[in-house]
Amino acid sequence: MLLGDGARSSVAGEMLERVNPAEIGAFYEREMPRLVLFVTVSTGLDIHTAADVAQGAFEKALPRWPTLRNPRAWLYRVAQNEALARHAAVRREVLVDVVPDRPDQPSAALSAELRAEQREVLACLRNLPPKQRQVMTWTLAGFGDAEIAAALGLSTDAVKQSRYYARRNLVKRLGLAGRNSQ
Amino acid sequence: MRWMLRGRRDPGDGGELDARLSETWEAAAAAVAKMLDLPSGNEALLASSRLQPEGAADLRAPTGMTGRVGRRRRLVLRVAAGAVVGLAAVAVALAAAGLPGARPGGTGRSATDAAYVVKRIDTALSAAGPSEIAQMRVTTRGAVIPGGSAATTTGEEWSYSDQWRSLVNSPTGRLVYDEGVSTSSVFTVVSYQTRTWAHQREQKQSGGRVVGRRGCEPAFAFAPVPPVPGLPGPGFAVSSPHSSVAKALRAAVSCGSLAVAGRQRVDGIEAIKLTNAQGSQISMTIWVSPDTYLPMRVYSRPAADQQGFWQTADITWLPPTAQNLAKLTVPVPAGFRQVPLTQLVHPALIPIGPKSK
Repeated sequence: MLLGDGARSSVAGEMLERVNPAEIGAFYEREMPRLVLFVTVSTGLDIHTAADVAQGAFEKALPRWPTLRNPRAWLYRVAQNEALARHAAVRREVLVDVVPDRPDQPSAALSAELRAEQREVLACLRNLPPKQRQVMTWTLAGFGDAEIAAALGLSTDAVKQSRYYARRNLVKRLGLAGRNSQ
Repeated sequence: MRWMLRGRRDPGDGGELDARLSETWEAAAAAVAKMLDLPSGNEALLASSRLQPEGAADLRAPTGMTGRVGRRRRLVLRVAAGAVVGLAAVAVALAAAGLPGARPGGTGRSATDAAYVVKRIDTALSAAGPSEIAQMRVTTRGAVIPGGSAATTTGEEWSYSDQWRSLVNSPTGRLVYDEGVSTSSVFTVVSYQTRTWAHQREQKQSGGRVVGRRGCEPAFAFAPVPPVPGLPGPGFAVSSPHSSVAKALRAAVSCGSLAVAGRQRVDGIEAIKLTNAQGSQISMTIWVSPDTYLPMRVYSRPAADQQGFWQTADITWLPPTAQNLAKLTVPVPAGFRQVPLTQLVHPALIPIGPKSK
């Protein structure tokens, strides 16, 4: 993952010299918490593991930053793949007699920071079926249909359809149906 | 947000769903940033300016970040040393930033959550100690004399910096004692039963003593215990080393035995509940406000095989306005007779040793 020999280092060095560290610092400050949230909501990983995954994604992105056409999308995609891999690994490793944490239970510390209605929204998001949840979290992270489709390996129509069902489920679960109807 | 403006709109939500989703996402992202204690852009820039000039020899994490940097920092530093120093600062910031609480496998989550919440409480109490008045309504149940009959009494306390005042009621709700320490460290106690009062300069305790051995007993002793029937003298408050409530609570929550036990509604607020580990001599539960992280309620009881008191203290934090500060003053009603302190307070209940007048 990281550079180990001099030749590769010098190539990476030339690439990195073209990048403004302050710009990346600002990007990190803005995106890191959102990426952690994205990972924990979309995959159900706990907040600390999600932070580890997000951190790893940033570390992977750093050496190749200048070559990335859409670093943000790349970062989210890498984080998602890593999170899913970890999730699968955890599921494989968990012994049957161990009572796992409820997958829909966000960290108590995160919950402590949110109001009741915000916790409810977060819980509803986490309880959506996997594909709907992924599409919604990518949407909430600010990505377009084409980007989501590319990241999830779906068609744009499938993305739209999943989002439609996700929104319908959320409206129902949050008791918003029929309120303020236009 | 962009996503609100495209795609099919579900019938009936009227945009409320979008608003709630957007608000929740932003609030949750802010909460994540707060709980992970990420460095700000300025910190990253500061790191950048420190690290940019020279090569690998100058690669140092900014002050305060080094303690949290582990394997990832070493890896990132290796990259930076071999490649470009310009990004080293960001790399170090990244390495330092994302790791608090990040552990492979995600084990020990509740411990980390508890540590986070306790840290926030400690910070809140540290700020509140000198700046806010703790007002408490205390309900106590227990037998003062071992083997004696248990009684329930109520009391009120105020604590602000080194000042405090305590009102102790009888089981029937009548005011029995009013006592406190003023700004000039004068201890005053008024007995409404005997219509007498006494005062005495309190011995200064450097730095404010923390209640309990090594400060690791619950915030139990700040509250008054029932007055002993037949015994002159007020309750435990007189005999306790009366550090401020904020200090006592800080000591209690800092002992590392508290765990987050979810949420519970206290006075209409979904408070964060913390309980201490089983096996402690005194079982304690603290509910803290999710907004201020200041304790709202403290409940303590002795362990199953122990004797002691069951106490509930409901705490309100007041600004030190003139009106609120007046609550810390012990008024001596007209017609009450002044007596030596030793006459008013049973000797057994004054182990802190204020000098006799």
